[in-house]
This record gives sequence, structure tokens and C-alpha cells, in this order.
Amino acid sequence: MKMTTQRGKIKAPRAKTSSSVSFDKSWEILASAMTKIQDHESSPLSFELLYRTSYQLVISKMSAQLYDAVKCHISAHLDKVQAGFDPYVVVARDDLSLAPKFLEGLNKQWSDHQTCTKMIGDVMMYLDRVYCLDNTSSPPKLADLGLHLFRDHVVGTGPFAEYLYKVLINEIQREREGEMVDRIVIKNVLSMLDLLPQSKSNKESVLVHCFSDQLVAATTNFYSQAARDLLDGNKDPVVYVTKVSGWLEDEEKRSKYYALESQAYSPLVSDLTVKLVSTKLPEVMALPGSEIRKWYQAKKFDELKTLYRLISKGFPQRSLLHHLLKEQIVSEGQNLNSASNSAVEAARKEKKPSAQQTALAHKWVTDVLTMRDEFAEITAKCFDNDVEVVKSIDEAFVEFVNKHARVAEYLSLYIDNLMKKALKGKSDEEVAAILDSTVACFNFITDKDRFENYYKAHLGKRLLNSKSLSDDAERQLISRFKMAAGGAFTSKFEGMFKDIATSADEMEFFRKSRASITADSEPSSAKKVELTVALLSGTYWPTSIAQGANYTLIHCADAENAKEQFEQYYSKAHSGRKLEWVPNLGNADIRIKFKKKFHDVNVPNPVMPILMLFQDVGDQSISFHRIQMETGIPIPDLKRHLQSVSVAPKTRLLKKVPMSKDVNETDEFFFNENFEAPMTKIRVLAINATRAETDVERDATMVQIDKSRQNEIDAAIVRVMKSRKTLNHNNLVGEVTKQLASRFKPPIPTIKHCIESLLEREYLRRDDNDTTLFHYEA
Amino acid sequence: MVRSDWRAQEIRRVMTFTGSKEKTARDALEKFDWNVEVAIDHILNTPQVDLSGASKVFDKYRNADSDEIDLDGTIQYITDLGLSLEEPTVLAVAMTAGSPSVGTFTRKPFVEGWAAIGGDTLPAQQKLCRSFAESMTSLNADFQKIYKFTYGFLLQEGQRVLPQETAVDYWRLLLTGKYEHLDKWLSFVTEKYKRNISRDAWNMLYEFMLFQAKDPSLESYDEDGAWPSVIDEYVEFLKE
Repeated sequence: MKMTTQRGKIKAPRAKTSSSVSFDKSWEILASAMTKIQDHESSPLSFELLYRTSYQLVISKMSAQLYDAVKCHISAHLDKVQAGFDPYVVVARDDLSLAPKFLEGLNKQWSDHQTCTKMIGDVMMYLDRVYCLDNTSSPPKLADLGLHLFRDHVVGTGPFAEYLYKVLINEIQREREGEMVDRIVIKNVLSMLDLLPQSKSNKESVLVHCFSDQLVAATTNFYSQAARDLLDGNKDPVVYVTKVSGWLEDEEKRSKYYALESQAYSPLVSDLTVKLVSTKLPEVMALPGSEIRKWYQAKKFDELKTLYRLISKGFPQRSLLHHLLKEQIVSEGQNLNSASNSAVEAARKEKKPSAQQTALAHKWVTDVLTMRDEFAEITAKCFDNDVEVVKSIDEAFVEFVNKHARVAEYLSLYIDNLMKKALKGKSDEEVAAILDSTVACFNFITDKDRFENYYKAHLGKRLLNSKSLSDDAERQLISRFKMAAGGAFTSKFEGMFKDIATSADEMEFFRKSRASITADSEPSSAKKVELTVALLSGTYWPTSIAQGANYTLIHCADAENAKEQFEQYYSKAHSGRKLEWVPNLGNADIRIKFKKKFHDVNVPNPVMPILMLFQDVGDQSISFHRIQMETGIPIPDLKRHLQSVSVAPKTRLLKKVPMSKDVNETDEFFFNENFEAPMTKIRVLAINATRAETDVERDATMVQIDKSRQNEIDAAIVRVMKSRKTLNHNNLVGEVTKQLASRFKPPIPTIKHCIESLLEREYLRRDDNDTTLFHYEA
Repeated sequence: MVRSDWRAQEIRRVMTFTGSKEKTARDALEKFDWNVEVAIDHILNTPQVDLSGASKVFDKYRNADSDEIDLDGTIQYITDLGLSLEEPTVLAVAMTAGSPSVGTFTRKPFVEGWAAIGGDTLPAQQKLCRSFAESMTSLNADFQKIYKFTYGFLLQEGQRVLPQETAVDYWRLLLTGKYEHLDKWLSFVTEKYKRNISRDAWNMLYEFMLFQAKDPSLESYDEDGAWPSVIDEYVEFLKE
């Protein structure tokens, strides 16, 4: 099939070229119309006529001529406009009181000009479309031409521009100082400057190019002077922070209102921030009165918030804040430390017993915790709970807390006091809060092993003497330790609790079995001594608890009998376990008949056999040596026990001959029949209550800790090497430090010593060629 | 008989192929489970040394009862080598002949050690001793081997660490003229350190001498580095 197509040709209409169009005639029409438009008399004009006239000129190839004529016409008009401002610009150039009027006038001329340009543009639309092409070589579109002409013939670069900029800066300054100004006019004029391009090729606005720098310089100068005045005056950092922050906020708001953020004002605000905050604030915050804690104590929360905002603006990562916090906390902390140390020194000079040390420990920890709580509140309330800031604060605490030589002991003593007294009458929430801040302090300690040592000893005494106010609080604290330092850290504490619980169960069984035995075999005349035993596993409890207890206490027959029964019961119930008695722990309740009345006396365990010796001797005396022989108590201990029952005024159950303050080995003792006391129940104090260590004891503790540290380091090295087989020295030291971080910070020389001892014992071998390399020798 | 014939054949094959003696061939075959190829390889790759010469030297000084050169034999032997007991070359001899401890040589290491470097006769050994002495004048790799050997050589049975006095004597013997700060080191050890010397300390002193030669001011010394603590203490001592 064949396709045939017949194409119809569209012929271009033949243009009627009437060469009869005269430029002069046409232009006359257009020019007069433009004048009318500029004089606001455009209503009688015929758009159709004007459009056709300009159209005809264009199609008669007279575009260039027309374009130039339009340009000339507008220029001439704008020259007149500019001349109209002469009264301000030329005559009264220094009288800025006329400025508002000037701006108002300019604003009006500007909006007129824009209207005119728009209307002229509409009339000349065809010229615009054909003659003004979108490339750089062609003349600008009429709308742009209007801007260029306004720039060149009104604003210019001469006296008019100078005057305009001066007026604007002045008006903005007046506004800044709180005077009433016509903000709308200012805004319009500014946006005019923003619309005017710098030149045909440079699209940057006149505002940015010519005005912005002047405005920024003027503003910065103003504020720099204001800041200087501020610091010359009262030098108060609080005032400075508040003012500067206010200024910056003002300027930000202003720039937003004038819609200048992106062009002229943003360098202004950032410039100001650099000048007033980044460079000046560190200096200001070194002045007296810049202590953040004092601001807090004076309840200057808003000011602190302002400070935080200001620092956030002026410093990357808020470096200044971190620096300030660290410096201030460490310096305050060191004040606390030295106050504590000099109090210790004073106490030592006055030979006050270590009981006062406990009070000092309590004071120091309380001070530290108060400070910590305060900073916690500051960060929560004023610093946005900034994680990095919290970290810096913690680091500062770690730094000074560990500079206190007794931090581990003091915190443990503080807790001891909490558990025995201070938590009394506190609500659950209060207790939880106290425990939380206690654990925070615990987290600051680098030598956690030292703390463990003290805590074990103190906890042990609390548990054995039932001195804790609340089991629940004890357990809560331990579970918090567990969260903070891991299960290995608390396993011994938990073991101690378990022992106490098991002991109670065990005693229940013992009582039952004993009742049945007694019923069967024992003669009814035998007096029955109640016995309660605490069963402590050697691995959990601190060795210090049994210190000086390696003697066998000889009880009275009835008590010995009870003890024996328990031993029999226990070995039957748990074969293979070894029981060891710790004679200097525990208490005994005895009822004693004095001349006046009975008293129930609670005495430390070793005092019981001493008193029982006087049961049937009447008014005969017993010598020190006989007491020693019959009880088996070592002489120094015996002296102290006798002191508490024959010298201490409130519990003088025995009389001593001769009467003196000290107990001597030549003394004779009598039963004090005439003893009387207001209460029926009396308590004879144990000779070792919880208290701070003496220096000698502390040294011993340190030696012991150092030794166990060496074992731990050894073990850590072996663990690491076992899994890595070959490792270089630095990595080995790093790994070991990491493994032990939750316990303590091992000093490098100590690690080196341990490595050397392992080399000697041939667990490790140094590489023959690379002397920094170690091999594990299985 | 059939079996031994087969073995004799294999031995002969190895002997003709390698040109070695019957005993060498048999030893190699026995060692490698009568695999002829491996045995031939082994013989060709093992330098053949004649042990008989060195053996004769050993026989001359040995104590017939124990088949060892004992203390008296050693003194005689050292003298015959033209050495005195107080010279460091003796330690090179001890290392070469694999002496297990002071005043003792056993046959196997003695014979093999000397034979391996051509010490078949006493004069040959004397010549070798002279070259030992020459190579022991500076801190070089050969000397380091002798230095390291000395520690184990000096340890007596059951000893784990070297008594300080012994260490000091031998440092003086080995290092005089080689370590310029020897006096300082010895006074540090005797007056300050005052402990016995571990093998690691002994070996690492050598590394430290090399280090100190390169950096006499010890500026680049890093006490957190892999140096043993005795060297740390020594550096502190030097810096005071």
C-alpha cells in the first residue's frame, strides 16, 4: 500500500512593513506617557496605544534607540528626585534630627520608582522581550535597568550614599538605645539597599557590599566600648554575663526583624560573639565573683543558664565551661582536702583519740557530697543536663577526691555512720537519695580495692554487733555497688550477709537438737546457758576481724558445756568443716545480784568468764594473775577488759586494790556488791568500736593491700598473656591496666616488677631479638 | 638373614651414592626408618666432620672414671691452650665446647663443638682461641652470644638467679674496655641495687649498653618502656 501525503504549507504572514513609522513621533507619545506615569497621572493613558507604539518601534528595528531614550528619560527623572533631597544631604548634612524625614522621603521615592518601572515595563513589554536577552552581553531588562538607574542616579557613591548610611546607622543606634524610630521605614530602606545590585556583573547587593561593613564596625565599636565600661565599673562577672547575653539577643532579634540574617547582620552577631564572648569571657570568668558554685548558692539560676547559653555561642564544645568547672571544682576540693588534713593534724597534736577522726571523716565526705549534689543540680537546672559537662565535673571530682590520702577509709566510715545513726527516721525516698550520692562518691574512687578492704571490716562489725539500722538499706547500697563496680566486687559483702542469715537458721536447728538432748541426758541441776553463734566463712570476712583473737578463751563450765554441745552438733551436721572460735567478738548477757537489786548486764564475750570467777568467792579477792590463768585472756587484752569493769565509773562491777586509773598485774580484784545504777539493763562497752585507723594500722593496711595488689597484677598479666601468647610491653601494660581499672590504677613500675618476677619464674620469656616482646611459656 | 641382607644392600646403596662411611650410612638409615632417599638427602645436607681429632684432644684431658674433663683437667687444658683462667677468652672456649658449668667439659659437645669449626688438634684450637680473643674486643654479635651464654654457665645447680658478687666479677672480666660506664654500673649494683641479678637483668644490660652508646645523654630513655626496673633505677642513678 502506498501512502501519499500531501503537505499543506503554512505561509508566514507577510509583515506589513510600513517604513512610515517615525521614531520621533512615536517617542513623543511614549515620553509624555512616561512623564505622566512618573507624575502619578497615568489613569487617562491608553495602554493599547502605548503598547502598539512601542511595538511598532521595535519591529521597525529601532529597539536600541528606544531603549536608550527610555534610559535617558528615567535617569533624568531620578536626577531630579535626588536633587529633591538636597535640603537634607547638602544643606543639613550634619543635622541628623531630620533623618527620619529623609528616610521617609526616600522610602516614598523608592516605592514610586518601583511602581513606575513596573508600569513602563508593561508598556515596553515587547522591547523587553526582544531586545533584552538573557545573556550578559545584552542590555539589562527594564526592571533591572530601573534598579541600576536608581543606584546610579539616586544612591550613588557620593555624599548622598554617605549621608544615607550615616542616617541608617544613627537610626539603628537610636533604636538600640530605646528611642522610638520608624522601624517600617528603616526596614524598607534596608531592603531597598538589599535589592540594588552592586553592578551589572556583581550581583552582590549594595547593602552587603557597601553598607554592611560600616554597620558592623559601628555596632562592634559601640558594644566593645560598652563592655569596657562595664568592666571598668563594678567588674562583676554576673553583670557582664547578663548584659552581654541581653545585647546579643537584642541584636539577633533586630537582625531578624530587618530580615538581614543572611546578609548584613550575621557577620555582625558572630563578630560581636567573638569580641564579647570568645575573647573576653575567659578573662571575665577569672575575676573574683566568677565561682559557679557561689552563683548557685546565691540562687542565680537564670544567670547560670545565661552563662551556659553564652558559652555555647562563643566556644566550640563549650570548652570554657569545661575548663571553668574543672578548675573551680578541683580548687574547692583541694580546699576541703587541706581543711580535712589540718583538722587531722590538730587532732593528733591534741592527742584526741581516733573517735574524732570518725567525725572528721564524716565531715569531709559530707562536704564532698554536698558539693557534688550542688553541681548535679546545677547541671540539671541550668546546663541542660549536658552529658559532656557532667563528664567534666566527674573528672574534676575524681582528680581531687583521690588526692585525699584517706578517701577509701573515710567513705567507708561515712557509710558506717549512715548505717548506724544518720539514716534514722529518714523516708525511703530520702534514704535512696542519700545512697545514690554515696555511690556517686564511691565511683570517684580509683582505688576501689582499698575501699573494699575498709568496707568489709566496717560492714563485718555492723553485722556481728547488729548495729545496722536497716538491713534493707545495707542491701540497697550493696546492690548499687554491684551496678557500679560489678559482681566480683560485692561478692564478699553478699557472702557476709548470707553467713548471718545461715547462722540464724543454723541456730534454730541447734536449739531444737539441744532441747532433745537436754531432755534425755543432762542432769537437771546443770544451769543452761543460751548460746547464739554467728558462723562466718573465712573467705568472706576480713582477717582483721579475728586479729588478736588467736587464744582460747576459757569460759565457766556451763558456758563451755554449751559450746561443746554446739561443736558436736555442728560437726555432725556438717562433717568436714572446721570450726574456729573468735573469742574477742560477741556479747554475753548475765544477770548479777547486787546488794540493792538485780541488774542485767551485757558484756563483751571475754568479760563473761572474768565476772563468773566472782560467782562463789564472797568477799575474797582474786589476783590479776589468777584471772589471767583461769580465763586464758592475753595480758594486754585482759588489762583493757578489767579497765572497763573496774575503773570505768558507770560500769564498776568490780573493785580494784589499789584504786588507780590503770590496771596493773599486781592488782587484786573484789566483787563490787554495792554497785548501783539507775537502769536495770547495763552495758559494758566493747574495747574496739568502729573508728578511724591509727597511722600504724593504716601502714599495715597499706602493706597488706599492696601485697594483694601484686597478686592481682600477677594474675592479670598471666590472664592476658595466656590468651595473647605474645605481646609487646606497652600493649601488655595497657591491657593489664584496663583489666584492673575497676579495682585500682596499677602504677607502671609495679607492673614492671611483676613482669620481672614472672620472667624469673619462667612464666614469661623475653624475645631474643625484640626485647620489647614477651612470650607466654605454658 | 634375608632381612639383614636387605639392610646391607641399602647401606651399600647409600654408601656408594654419598661416598660416606658405613657407619654414617647406617646411622642415617636408622634415623629415617630405612628410607633411602631421605637418608641420602640427610647425609648430603649434613656437613661431614671428622670427630676423631677433637676426640683425641678430649681424651688427653679427661678423667677416665667419669669420661669428663674435671676441674684439674680444665686447668691443664686452659694452660695448654695458652690462656690464663682470668681472661675472657676462656668463656668463648666454654661456649664453643658447650661446657655445662665452670670447670667441666663433657665429651659430646666438646668434640662436636670443636670439630665443627676445625679445632681438630690442640694447635688448631690455640689458633682459634686467638681469633676468639680478637673478636671479643667490642660489643658485637659474637660477643653478645658469649655474654648471654655466660649467665647460664655461671649458675650453679639449683640456682635461679646469679649471686651479685659473681655477676660483678664476670662483668668486670667481660666488659672492661668495652663499656665506658662500667665503674658506674658496678658501683650502682654494689651500693644501691644490692640484689642478685636475674637473667633478664643480665641480658638487658647488654641492650642498655648499646642504647647508651647511641644516646649518651639518655634523653630518649623511656622508663615506661620495656626496660626492666633495675635499668630504670640505674638511669635514675646516672641522672643524679
